[in-house]
Amino acid sequence: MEESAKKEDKIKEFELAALEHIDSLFNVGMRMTRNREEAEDLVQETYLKVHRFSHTFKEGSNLKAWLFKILRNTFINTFRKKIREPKEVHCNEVEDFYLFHKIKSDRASEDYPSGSSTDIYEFLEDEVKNAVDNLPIAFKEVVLYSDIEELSYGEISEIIECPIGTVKSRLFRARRLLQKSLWNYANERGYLKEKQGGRK
Amino acid sequence: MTTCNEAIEQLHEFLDNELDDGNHSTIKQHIEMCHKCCEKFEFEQNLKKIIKNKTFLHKTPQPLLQSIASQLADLEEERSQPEQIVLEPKVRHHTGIFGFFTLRPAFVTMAILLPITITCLAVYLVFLRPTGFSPIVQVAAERHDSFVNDNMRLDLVSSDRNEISRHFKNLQRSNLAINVPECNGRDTKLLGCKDSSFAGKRSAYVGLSGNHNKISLEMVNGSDMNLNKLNHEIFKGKSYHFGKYKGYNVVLWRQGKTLYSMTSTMNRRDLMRVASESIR
Repeated sequence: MEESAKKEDKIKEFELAALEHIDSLFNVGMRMTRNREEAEDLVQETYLKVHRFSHTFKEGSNLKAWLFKILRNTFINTFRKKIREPKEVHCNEVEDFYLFHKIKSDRASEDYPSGSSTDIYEFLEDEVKNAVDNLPIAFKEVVLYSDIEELSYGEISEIIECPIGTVKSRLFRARRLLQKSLWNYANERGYLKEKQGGRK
Repeated sequence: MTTCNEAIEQLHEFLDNELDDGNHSTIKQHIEMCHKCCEKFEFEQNLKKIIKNKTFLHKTPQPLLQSIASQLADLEEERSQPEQIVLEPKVRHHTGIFGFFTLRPAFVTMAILLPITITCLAVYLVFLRPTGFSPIVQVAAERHDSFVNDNMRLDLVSSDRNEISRHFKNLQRSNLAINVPECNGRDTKLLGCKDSSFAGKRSAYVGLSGNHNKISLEMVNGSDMNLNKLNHEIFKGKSYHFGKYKGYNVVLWRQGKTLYSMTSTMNRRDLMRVASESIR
C-alpha cells in the first residue's frame, strides 16, 4: 500500500512539473495555431496525453522537450497539418546580416531627425508576431523552439525527429526570412511616418 | 587566430550556445578584439532577445489552467481506485465478453447483424417467398392491383355478358379469345372489360367481383408462355398452375389455344372453383 502511495506521489509530482511548462506550451500553441481557442484545445489535449503517456517518459530526460514533442504530435493529429519543409524558399537572395546592413545603410542615408530612424528595439509586438507567424510552419517551429524556448539543437532535433544538420539549416534559413520580413514591416512603417511627417 | 569569416560562420551556434567550451571561448576572444564582428554579434543577439520578448507574452488563461488541473486530478483519482493501483498505462485489457464488445465494435456489429440477416432471409425463403414466382404471375398480380385500387380504366363498364362479348367481337382486328365467364349462380358478377395486353401479347381483360373480392381475368390467345416453372394442381379434372405475388393469388390454365389467368385475394381453391364454374 505504501508502495502505491509512493508511486502516486511520484505521478503527482511529475504532473506538477509538467504543468510548470504550461505557459511555454500555450505560447507555442498560440503561434502554431494562431488562434486562442485552438491553442487552448491543443494545450488541454496535450496534458491529457501527458497523463496518459506519463509512463513513457524516461526519468532524467528533458521534460520540456518531451512536452513539446507531445504538443507537436497533437497539433499534427488534431489539425491534420503536415509539417514539411517548404519546397521553395527564396532566402538565397537574403544575405547574411541582412537586417543589420539594411538598418546601417538606412541610418547612414538618413536625413530626417534622429528618433524616427529604424531601430530594432522599435519593432512592434505585432510586427514581430506577424513575421514569426508568417514563416512556413517547418521554419516557424524551429524558431519558436530555439529563439523563444531556448532549446538546444539536440532537443529540437528530438522534438521534430530530424537530424541536427536539418535543424541548423532550417533555423538559419528561418532567421534570414524573418529578418527580411521584419525589414519590410519596418520599411512600411518608416514610410508611413515620413508621409505623416510631411503632411504636418 | 580566428578570422572574421570563421567567427561569422559560427555566429548562430555561438549565440545558441551550441559550441563546446573551447570553440566558444575562441570566438568570444575574437569578438572582444574585433569591433566589426562585435557589432554584428551584438545586433543578432539583441534581435534574438527581441523576438523572444515580443512573442513570448501569453500567459495561460486561468480558466484553462484550472480546467486542466482539475481534469488531471480527476484522472488521478480514477487511477488511484483500489483496483487500479497499477500504474501501467490506461490501456484497458478487458477480458471475456466485455473485451469483445469494447475492442471490436465492427465485430460486434457483424455478430449482431449477421444472424438477423440470416434469420430474415430464412423466414423470407420459407414463409414469404412467392411460391412459384414467375414474371407472368407478377404481371397478373400488378394488373389486378391496379384494378383493385381503381387505377384501371375499363373500356366498358357492364355486368351484361352479351354486351361484353359484343364489345370484344367488335374489335375485329383483334385475335382475342372471347370466352366471357358465365356468372350464373354463386356471387360472381361481371363488372366490365378492357382491350389489353398481357406480357407482350394482346389480351382481353375482364373484371369481376365475387364473394366480396374483386377478380381479374385475363385471356391471351395462342400464348406460348411457359408455365412449367409454376406449381400446378389438378382440380375437377383440369390442370391449374398457380403462383402468389404481393399477397394476390394467381391461377393460370390453358383451354384450347387460350391462356387464362385469374387473380384475386381469394384463396387458390376458391379461385379454381370460380374458374371451373364460370369458364366452360
